Amino acid sequence: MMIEAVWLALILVGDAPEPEVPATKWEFLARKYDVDRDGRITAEEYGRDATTFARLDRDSSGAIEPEDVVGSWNPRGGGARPGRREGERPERSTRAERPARTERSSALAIGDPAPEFALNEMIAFGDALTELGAAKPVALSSFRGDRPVALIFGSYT
Amino acid sequence: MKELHAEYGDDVLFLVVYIHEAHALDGARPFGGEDGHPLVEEPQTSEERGEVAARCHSSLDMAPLRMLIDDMENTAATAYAAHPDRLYLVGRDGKIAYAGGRGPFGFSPEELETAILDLLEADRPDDRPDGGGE
Repeated sequence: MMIEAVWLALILVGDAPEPEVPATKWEFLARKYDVDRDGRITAEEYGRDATTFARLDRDSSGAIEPEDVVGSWNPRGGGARPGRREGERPERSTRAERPARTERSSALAIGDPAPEFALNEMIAFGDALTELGAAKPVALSSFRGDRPVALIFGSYT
Repeated sequence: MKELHAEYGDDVLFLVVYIHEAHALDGARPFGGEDGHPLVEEPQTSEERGEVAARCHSSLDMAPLRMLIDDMENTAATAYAAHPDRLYLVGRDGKIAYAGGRGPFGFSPEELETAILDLLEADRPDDRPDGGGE
């Protein structure tokens, strides 16, 4: 119901309604930063650091535009580039470019003391998961002598 | 990973440590949107990272795994050479019992499980109730 009301409000206000969930990098960025809805995001509109702005403004036009953020990073080609055209075959990587399947570039070895850290924990409140900044950070060393700890490092992307 | 937690969670604490993004849409190796990956900007504050971590935890249905969030100095990610992703097992003695390869190719839950089994076996007291042992 609430989603329908918002949808109706957007139609009444004018301009084409935005997709409920941005499906492309441009849609995401435009929704967040293109304040005047002119199809380009200036540094003033962007507001975040200049280095990231320059990276997004791939053609250095002075504004982030849709063609700047088309395509994704290609681990075989290196660097972001526009998506493949239909029918175009992917480039084959050379043996030197492919990472070894048994890569072991670890800074830590078995038997090394596990580096200590004390980090904030995500605490669930029903369906909402929020970070409690005031909560005491969880220290890895607090588990010593209790149980082994499996650490799973990663991010959403 | 949830399967490992279901199997060994009584004996091993599983901690997800949320670190800086592997493929932020505004990063050097951008994914997101058209390629089916989530659209995420590299968080620039702890609040932003907390929000993205919450999205991740919910979207990937990670409950009941506990999740810690690396600080904005990326202290844990750096100390463990963990970027973009990596698995470790720390023994009760506070020492590294298993250090997985760097992801994605080195990220192996199967190796972690083997390490868990080895560690639990090594921790098992000699006077087993079944009277085993020479």
